[in-house]
Amino acid sequence: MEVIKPKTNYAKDSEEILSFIERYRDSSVLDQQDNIEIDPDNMDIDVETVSPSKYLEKLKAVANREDDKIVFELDDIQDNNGNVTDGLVNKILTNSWRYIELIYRICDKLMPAPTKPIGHMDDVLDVIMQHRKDKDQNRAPEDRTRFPAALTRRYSLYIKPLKSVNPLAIREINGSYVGHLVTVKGIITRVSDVKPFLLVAGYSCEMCGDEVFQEVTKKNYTPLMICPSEKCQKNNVKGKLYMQTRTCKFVPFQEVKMQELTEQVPVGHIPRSMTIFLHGTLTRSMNPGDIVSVSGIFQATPHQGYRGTTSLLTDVYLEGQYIQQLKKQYDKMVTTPEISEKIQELARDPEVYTKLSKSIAPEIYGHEDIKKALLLLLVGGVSKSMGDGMKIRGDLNICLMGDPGVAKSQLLKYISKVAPRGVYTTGRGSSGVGLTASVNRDPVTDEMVLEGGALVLADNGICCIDEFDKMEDGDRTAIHEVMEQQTISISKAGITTTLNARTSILAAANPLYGRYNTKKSPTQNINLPAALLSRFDILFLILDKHHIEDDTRLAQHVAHVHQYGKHPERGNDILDVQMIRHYVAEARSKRPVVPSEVASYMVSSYVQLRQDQADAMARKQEHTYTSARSLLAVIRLSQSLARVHLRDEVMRQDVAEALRLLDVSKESLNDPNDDSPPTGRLYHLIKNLFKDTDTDSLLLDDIKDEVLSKGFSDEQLMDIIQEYSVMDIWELDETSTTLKLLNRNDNDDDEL
Amino acid sequence: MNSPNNKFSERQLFYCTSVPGETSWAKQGYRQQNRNQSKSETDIEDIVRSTANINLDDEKVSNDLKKVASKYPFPKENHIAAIVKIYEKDDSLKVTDVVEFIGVLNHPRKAASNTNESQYEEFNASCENVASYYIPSVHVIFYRKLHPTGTPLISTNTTNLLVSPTDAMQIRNALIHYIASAFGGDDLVAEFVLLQLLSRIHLRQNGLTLGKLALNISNLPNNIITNENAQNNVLSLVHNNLFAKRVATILASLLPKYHDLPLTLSTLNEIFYFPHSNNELDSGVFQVSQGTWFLVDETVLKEGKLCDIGVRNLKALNDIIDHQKLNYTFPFNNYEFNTDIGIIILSNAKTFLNYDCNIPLIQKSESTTISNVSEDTLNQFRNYISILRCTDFNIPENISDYIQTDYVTQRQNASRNGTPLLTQQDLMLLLNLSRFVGLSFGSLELTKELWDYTKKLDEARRHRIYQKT
Repeated sequence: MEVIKPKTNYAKDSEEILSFIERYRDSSVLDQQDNIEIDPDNMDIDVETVSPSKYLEKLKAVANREDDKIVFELDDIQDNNGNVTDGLVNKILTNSWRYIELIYRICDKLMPAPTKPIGHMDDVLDVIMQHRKDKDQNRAPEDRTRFPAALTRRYSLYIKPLKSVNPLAIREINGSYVGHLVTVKGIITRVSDVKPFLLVAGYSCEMCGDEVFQEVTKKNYTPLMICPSEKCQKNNVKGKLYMQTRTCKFVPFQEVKMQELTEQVPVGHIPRSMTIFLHGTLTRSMNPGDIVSVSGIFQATPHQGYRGTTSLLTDVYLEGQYIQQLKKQYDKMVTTPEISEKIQELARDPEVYTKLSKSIAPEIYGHEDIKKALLLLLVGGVSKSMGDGMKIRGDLNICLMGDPGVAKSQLLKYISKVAPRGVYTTGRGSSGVGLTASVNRDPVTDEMVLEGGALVLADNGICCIDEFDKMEDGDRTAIHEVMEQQTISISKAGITTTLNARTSILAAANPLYGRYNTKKSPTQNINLPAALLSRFDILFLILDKHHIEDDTRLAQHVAHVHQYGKHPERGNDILDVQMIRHYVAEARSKRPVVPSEVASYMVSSYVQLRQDQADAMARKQEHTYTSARSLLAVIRLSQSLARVHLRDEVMRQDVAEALRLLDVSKESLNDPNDDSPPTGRLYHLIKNLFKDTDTDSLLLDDIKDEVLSKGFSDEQLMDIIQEYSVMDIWELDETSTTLKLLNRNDNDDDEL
Repeated sequence: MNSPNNKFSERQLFYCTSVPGETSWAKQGYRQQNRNQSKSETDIEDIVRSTANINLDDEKVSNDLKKVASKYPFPKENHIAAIVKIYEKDDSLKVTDVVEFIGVLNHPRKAASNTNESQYEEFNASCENVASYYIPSVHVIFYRKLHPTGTPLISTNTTNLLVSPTDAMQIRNALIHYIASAFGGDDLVAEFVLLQLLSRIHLRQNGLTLGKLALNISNLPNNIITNENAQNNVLSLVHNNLFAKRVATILASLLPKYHDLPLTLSTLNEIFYFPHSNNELDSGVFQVSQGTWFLVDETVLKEGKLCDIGVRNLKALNDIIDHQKLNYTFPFNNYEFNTDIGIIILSNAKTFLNYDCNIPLIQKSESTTISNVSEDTLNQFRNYISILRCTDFNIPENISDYIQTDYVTQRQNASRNGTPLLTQQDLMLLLNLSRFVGLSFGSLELTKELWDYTKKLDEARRHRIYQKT
């Protein structure tokens, strides 16, 4: 057989590690003390007195029994470029197990004597050590070497990988990684009980009473049977050994199963899983359902074939070294410089609001205002908690009610995918248990477990509930609490608790008779209790009505999809989902306030809303219930709008837009035959456009974009231009591309 | 073990079963074809069968074997299973792919059941450990994916992959007549069934799935249930309803992959329809390869209580109907898999499941015999369906415009007359149907005539629904 001479010079490497441990100091500490000159000749012992090395400090803590683990950070070695070459990090990464042993040995050597009295912390080991010491006095000194180092060690050593390392998916790890330190991301699906794992077996001899220790380094071991002690050998007897559990050393051991995350699995493949072994202090640090990235040594042990033979196959597992719990929330999102650059660029764009809302569910045709509201739902208002424990909800709740076939469900599904913790459920498919929380019995352990329903799972996210109207009344009542108090109280099977459910609710419902019946009043059609309705910030009524232009565009869209097998291109300013998420995350970091001037505007508009409500009631045309909650809704919507523009202050136009959204939500209720064109609003819109840009001529295309985004049609625009040209307010140039204001009378400004 | 001087290669294990729902003619056709190719006297499958057959009728079946058998979509059905070992890194094989393997067969080591693995088995019970004692393994030398339609006829006659319009016309009429014999001579229903059989998911993008057509045939006569084995085999997925049986016979004689799905309370509550995992993945009824058909019989469903599994099963069924997607449930995670499963639902009244297209049945005769068709004609039918199903179909620009104006005028008229408006869904359905109508006539692109024909067909369907209500 070929003998390969190891190229690695372990002796040299241990020296490097030794010097690293002794000399490495936290860079922060170093900064404070960089005026102290370190004399390289005089380092070995005195270094502690000059400035305590990070790792020597840790060793001291271990010796004093204040700590039982040492985490060896590879970043520190990387930092320490001056003393240690980069090669060492690589060597540790690719041959981790060997180097951990080396470091153990070095640490053992460096372990200082305790500096504090530790008598009260005596354990079995100390008692045995004392016994040994007593015996040793009558014994030859060479016997002492039989103590395995693992027995007297009081710490476990872990390696923390470089911060820059990217977690891998389980399927990316292959045979070439064996022995390497790898970082894997996944979801924990099972954890075993914590069991003692034999590290050193201790025996005593029935003939000579001698104690014998055996270090176990593999999964299996053969117990010692015959006493190897000098005494027995001399007497030529074969002393039988008995295992003494009290003198053995055990470490806690746990086996954990990790599975790939949904996004790591290629389409059409089954997720893979991996076993992770945890020892010592790392045990019990993970629970089923956690999303974690675990660093560990990828190990292979020969597969135990049947009848004791060793097969060519190996079982693989990860020897856990470092665990990082992950949570995917808005504030935990990692942005790269390019992304933040793009966010800033977007924020400067005055059209950002329309741009973002257009990018929501781009495959769904039309529904621009609903998309705007959904954007605001993603961004949300500002939650406040008062000193006295009262909380004001910032999350928006939106209900989409409409005829079948207006793409409500698709919108819901899209939102549940964009939101980091979005949950999609249907009112019909899930009982109350499915939506709120439930108490279940675990089939494996037979323990009672609290299981979160859709609402708890969507904590800090969005819960999309389809078929809201088909839900049982009892379940809907459970949602009342969530929608205002944002908690869920459970009292089942002896467990009473309150869970957080800080979630926005996006509901979709059909009108009472399946389709909206224009002959009945809106309240009759909607058929949801006022207590629930008032909790929705906006209730969108979407009626499927005949409208030539819309119908044509829709038919075009559908035919195009069937014809070419893809959606028609609609400009390249559609942002991808990832970008929307990042922008929303950025927007959510803002906490806009309402200045007093804007507040008074809000108040007056609220009074107006109440008045409208009273009028509508009189006409039996009310569709929502306006209460103090409506005022809060306006505040939330306008805060959310300010957030979209990344502003720190709510402005009048935000409030105006919030009111407009509230207004359009019931727009489709208006009789289509009632042809009074909303000329006034359109006129003001164009007027403002002139004012904002501070010119008296504008490109027609610009106006068109703005006007269309506000929900007006092309024809309406042409009509109004025609109408007002006659009145000499503006004129269109010959090529019909620019609109010129004839006399800018500024007294119009006060009207808004 | 950890020395960098050690070299490891990898192998992947796949658990394979015989193709779920493969109909007998397809099976035979495939074997015939193999025999022709290899020219060997012995039939390989017979050798495999002698060791690999999982026969669950046997009383002495151990628990472990039952565990293994749960990896087959249809519980309690005999099938062949093998562990396939591939010695290379290859990610091209996906779940529910139909693959042909050539390799070395290794017999299971039934006898050696005393192991020293018991200690770890509880936690680590891998498919390999348990299964290797009962199931043969195949060390793969070569493999190839088969055409997803699973029709053996296609791969042999690759030359003639088009059906000429004149042929199509002729076969079409004969085929409709043949199908209609199971529906009491109802040609309209038979035509819709034919269109359904031609459906295939041809586009899947951004949550949009085109080409699905879940057909609901309602207004079935009161069912006559055969009591053959209703007693001892409550949980088997075999139709007991005579009417459904007749339809099933027809479908099975035409399709390469087909399975019954009677929707009784006990099957709903006790058989998993979706693959699920607690530690290992166990199969569910819908874990089948692309292009498998199910005939769902709702008429056998009675009032009663639906438990947790039942609710989730229905959701899985509805997900397939709506999106052709199946959720495999894993602890703490769900993984969505795309499917292409044909669904035909039989019901007394309108079904409570979702559907794309509903048509009430009007029987013309009470005859219960299926018209006799020669094997040659059947082969012609099978070729017709398989070939046209995979044919690409185009909608030219001018027809697209024609459809658009047509839609707008229809809505305009409906709005004026106060009749229900044509919705986006209706338009989608029409476009879908027109595709299958076009294919059924052997046409490669949509024409005005085909569109008008589709509309007439749909009108006839609507008229029936209107009559019934």
